Amino acid sequence: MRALRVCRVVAASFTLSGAAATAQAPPALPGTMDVARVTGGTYAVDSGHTQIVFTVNHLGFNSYWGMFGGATGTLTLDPAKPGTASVEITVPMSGITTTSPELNAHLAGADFFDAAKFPAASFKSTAVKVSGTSATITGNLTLKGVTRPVTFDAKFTGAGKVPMIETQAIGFEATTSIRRSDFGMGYGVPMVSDVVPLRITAAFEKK
Amino acid sequence: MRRAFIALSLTLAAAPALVMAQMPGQANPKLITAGTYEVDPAHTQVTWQVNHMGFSMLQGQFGASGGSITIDPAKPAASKVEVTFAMDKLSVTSEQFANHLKGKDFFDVATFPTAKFVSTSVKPGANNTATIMGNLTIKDITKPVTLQARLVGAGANPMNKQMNFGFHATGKVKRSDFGAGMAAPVVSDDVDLVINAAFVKK
Repeated sequence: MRALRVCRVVAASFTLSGAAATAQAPPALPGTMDVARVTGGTYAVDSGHTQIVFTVNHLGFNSYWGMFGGATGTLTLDPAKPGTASVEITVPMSGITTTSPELNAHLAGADFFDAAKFPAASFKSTAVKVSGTSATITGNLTLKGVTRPVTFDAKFTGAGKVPMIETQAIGFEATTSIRRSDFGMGYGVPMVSDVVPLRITAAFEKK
Repeated sequence: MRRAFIALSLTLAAAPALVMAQMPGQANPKLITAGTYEVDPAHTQVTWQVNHMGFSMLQGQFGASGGSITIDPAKPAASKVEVTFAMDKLSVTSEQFANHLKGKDFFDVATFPTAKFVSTSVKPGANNTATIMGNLTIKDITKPVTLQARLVGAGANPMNKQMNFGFHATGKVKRSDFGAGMAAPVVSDDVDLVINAAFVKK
């Protein structure tokens, strides 16, 4: 599945490069921010292209970013009734990655995510309020075994057909902020910030 | 006297502001003492972002492996910074993608294990900002790049017992300029960069 995805991007790039060589206008990308392209149904999270980036403030000197990947889940939507959309995402804690291997190991341990005991985090929406190409998504976030309500500000980033596999895809970006101490991960607060902004770049493909 | 006044006014302000005032790093450039600082590799990183096929953004990171900054807050335009990156230590959220990026299609880390940024000029701006121009070398190809930087905080770090400061910077490059243009434009040639940089006095 993953090998196919890489080959698909390469194949698509050759197709577009060929088009660009002869065409006058810049080549159209598979996805555009045109809501008319969105088709209803159930989509699966594109694990290879869905990421969560977190930010902390380190002692007031600098910001520090890390990422989670490998998410799975589904999105169900009906463009005629956008407020009825629902999304649920599961994120494996084994996918924590930062630019410090020592920090990766510390984050996986009992001081932070305790990945051995709590191998995944999840979000399940309870309400979606759409306004144009933006939405407010309310739901429950379960992290380190603790469930709390969170609200994301989301925006539509593109939709269309994925070349080569002829599947509908849709992308969103969503942001929120949590207090990590709310989820039993207050180690180092306040020297390393309690408030953690989260930014999800989410890609979905129709099942 | 002044400290008491500050403490009182902070108590009256919102709790987060009070917490910020207790942080070792404060957004005051006057706290930076002149001299040469080493890049703190554990806290210096670049996060890059491309547009993936017009659907959504895709990000990855590089961690700094070394470097230094020479700075004199009385003469900020004379500052010089250089940062090196170990390209084989790149961080992304898919192991298969990591291997592809390290290979010959992209960064060819076996042949080009390091990348480097060396500043050529610094222009201070308002509100603790500066425009840093410099040369970025990836795969032995050197191109100019401009970064917009902002001081995050400076002060004595209780952890390493030294003067520390850090900045946040943004920039943009075309990856094809560095021979890493595969799959452009389906995956964007333009790469947005966000730099979190931290420095420790030698």
